[in-house]
Amino acid sequence: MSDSAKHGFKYVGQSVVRVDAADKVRGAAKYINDIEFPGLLIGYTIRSSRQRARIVRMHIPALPPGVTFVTADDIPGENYVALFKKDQPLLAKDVVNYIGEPIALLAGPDGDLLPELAAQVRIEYEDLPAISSMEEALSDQLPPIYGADNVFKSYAYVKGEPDAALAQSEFILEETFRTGYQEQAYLETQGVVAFPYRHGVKIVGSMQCPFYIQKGLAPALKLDPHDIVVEQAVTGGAFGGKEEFPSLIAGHAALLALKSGRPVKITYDRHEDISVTTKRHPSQSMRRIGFDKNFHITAMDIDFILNGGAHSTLSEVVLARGALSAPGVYRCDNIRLLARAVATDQLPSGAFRGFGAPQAFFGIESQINHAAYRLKIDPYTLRKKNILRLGNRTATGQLLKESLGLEKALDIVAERTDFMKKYRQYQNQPKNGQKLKGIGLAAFFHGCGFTGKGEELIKATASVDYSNETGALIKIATVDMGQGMNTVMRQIAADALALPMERVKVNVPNTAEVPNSGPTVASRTTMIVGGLVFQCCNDLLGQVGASAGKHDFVEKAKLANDNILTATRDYRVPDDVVWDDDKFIGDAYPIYSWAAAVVEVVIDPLTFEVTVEKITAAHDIGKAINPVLVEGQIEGGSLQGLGYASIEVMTETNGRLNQASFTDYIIPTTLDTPEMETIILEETYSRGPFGAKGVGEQPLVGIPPAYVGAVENALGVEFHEIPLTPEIIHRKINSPQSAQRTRR
Amino acid sequence: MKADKMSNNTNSATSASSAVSEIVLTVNGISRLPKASPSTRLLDYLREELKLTGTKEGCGEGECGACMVLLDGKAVNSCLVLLGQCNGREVTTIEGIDAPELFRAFEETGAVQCGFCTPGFVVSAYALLQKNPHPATVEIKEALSGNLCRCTGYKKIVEAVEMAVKSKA
Repeated sequence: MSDSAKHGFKYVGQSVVRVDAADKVRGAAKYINDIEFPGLLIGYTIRSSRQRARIVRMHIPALPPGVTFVTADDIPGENYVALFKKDQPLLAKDVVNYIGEPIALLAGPDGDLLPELAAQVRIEYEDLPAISSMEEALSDQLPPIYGADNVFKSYAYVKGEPDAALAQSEFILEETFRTGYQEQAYLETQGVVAFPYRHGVKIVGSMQCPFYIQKGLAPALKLDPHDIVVEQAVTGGAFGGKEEFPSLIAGHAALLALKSGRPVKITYDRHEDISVTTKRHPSQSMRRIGFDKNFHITAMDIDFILNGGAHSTLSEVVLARGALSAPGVYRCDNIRLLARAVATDQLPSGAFRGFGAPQAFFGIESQINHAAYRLKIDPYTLRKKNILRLGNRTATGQLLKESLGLEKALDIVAERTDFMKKYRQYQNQPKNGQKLKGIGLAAFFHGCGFTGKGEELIKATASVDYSNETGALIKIATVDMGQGMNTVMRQIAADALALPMERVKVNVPNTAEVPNSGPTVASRTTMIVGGLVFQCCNDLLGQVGASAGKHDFVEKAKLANDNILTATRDYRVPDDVVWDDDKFIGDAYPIYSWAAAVVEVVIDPLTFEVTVEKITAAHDIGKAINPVLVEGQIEGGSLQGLGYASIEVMTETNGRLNQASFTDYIIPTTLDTPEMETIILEETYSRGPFGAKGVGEQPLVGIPPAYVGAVENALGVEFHEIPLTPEIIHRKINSPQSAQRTRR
Repeated sequence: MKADKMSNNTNSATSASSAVSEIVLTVNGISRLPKASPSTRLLDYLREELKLTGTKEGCGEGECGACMVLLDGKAVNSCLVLLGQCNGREVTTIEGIDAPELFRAFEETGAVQCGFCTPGFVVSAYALLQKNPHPATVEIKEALSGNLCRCTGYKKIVEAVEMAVKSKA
């Protein structure tokens, strides 16, 4: 379908106004906190105040009538939240491994009384030596939290002969990069309601993945998964923060609901939400890179570590995506990579837009910027000499056969910003107390869909029903969390069936009503799930003898019969997409989106305050089904990336976060937002619906190195960590070593 | 929750003689005698007693603007205002705002994603345009700087207000 543009579809490629906009603008959309449940109790979570400790005993006060109290002893089944591993308890029983770990629950009709009651629950602890950093996690000095070595997961591979290639290199650069926590900061905090329902429980809430909750809670609640019915409510942003975490809070609400026999709501206020929910994994990348005399990359040696926190959550897949991103968008035949996700007595890290890739790309792209400076070549030209092109193979040996808009993206952002001229000019600008300008560049990709065998394991299913009376009904478990999925799916189905969009509806994501099309993650929704919806529509055409070109589905369907037509499709990984997870070799993703971004800054040479003037970003995402929605992803993702790189500081002291509100964890406002120019490149993908690939995560991924590159260009100093604050800039510029590091 | 606690003590919200509090305020053009105590946050009164759920709680400390309402025409964070401060005053929530050109502009520019912050932005934009019907872009950004959005990157929100200005002219 790559020539869709020529066919002049009515909806695909058009910036159709999103179907939920009218309600949302008027405040009429019902989020979980806006829905009334008769007889509702409010739930409250009692949490660990210790970083690592044994729970010796718990003193429970006399409870007023109507108050329900739950501990791990009330869990009917096995005490873990099912995901990849079984290490995360629903409620801590004998030990706690982070400050804020849930231990017990309360529910009552008056939520305001619960904190006082909770304060009367006295927990006696026996402190244990806590692991407070990635270094300590790998030091063998403290008893491990996970397994024998504190490593949740590791990947290692060697391609070619990295040592020999480095030894023969003309130039080698060895550096260590660090990235901090990032909070998703969705505007709607976490919230779910659970109530007894038929033979089990029903859960309604703010979430990305209804079937993750169903699967995650079945062992603990000792219920058949079908007896756990999960339904998404309108969701006020997620960004990965509502991927796996809702399973935990839904489990708590379900335990309280099953014990009390009443509906129970648990919502977090902002303080609790920031303090106890998952964050982006902090990381450390120790990297060596070699170049030959022609500026071609000879080898890379990468040691990539993610801080997974106290429980494994999604760390192993975050790690896989990080490891696959670590070599960047370059040809390189000699690579050694070691990637580890480690356990610490800190808040569990989890999913966040980009999923390991932003950490990895900060390393490789900063290193390319540094190498360019040291090799006295500009960062654009150095990239042009090394980028992947059609017919090349990726670090894991994947042959790039189609849909590769990387060079176009790089060229267009360089051209639109006059990059080469400004880069040289700013490099040589006088440092005489005037404000300093800087420009930075990054090139990046994002693998579309699950990593490796993910799609094979999930076996996504979608179906589309059609009746002459009510039109088409798309049945998928994929959710709209703000990205516009509901609108995009309708556009795809409406054009595939030649129906007016008003005749296409999307079923509410409810596990009892829709098949499992997989979680709403991994930039997979449009490409994978949209692809299934498109195939279902083609099947419907076939069932009534209609054809796509003739626009005759409605008439043929009328002739067929009055019953409901149904088409169902399961995702099959194409036969030529082959991945070996043990060897870390092969086709890591069915296809990639590609991008380049330029950030331009002005820096006050006294305060080191950085003002971002402009972000120019070009993204090859295949066919843009809805260009305005795509721009929205690029603009919003870019700004999250800029926040991550600059102002979003989150630190911890002995396992306790130092930020717990929007007053101290600062996210960008209108006044922090630069001019943004977005360029959509449509290198269509032959297997995507109408040629579409993925866009959700990529916009965030490359902004941090472009931002840091711009600061470096302005100041002539190299940096190795984000968020890069004025304080860090000041320290570096005024440190004794800065003389030798300062670029002259 | 706070409304529940008070509900035993009073009869009808419309009967002035039997009201517990002596607060009278106008909400979206309707005169109200709240059952809730004067120490109730305006936000909770609107959401829980009046069921006006278009006003959202995003942070509870005046940082995010999701709970923005008009108090005598001025945009305020309703999480920072107590009911007792509203005596004799006029409150307008998103449900009471009649601004078709602003609504349409938010829809058509793509200024809405998850939508949780959107009513707050509309209220702030409406307050700006009442006071300054032809704001410059920098004035729009300034007026919206008390509202946080994590989805859009703000570009299309600012464009929406610009579009509404143009369509009114």
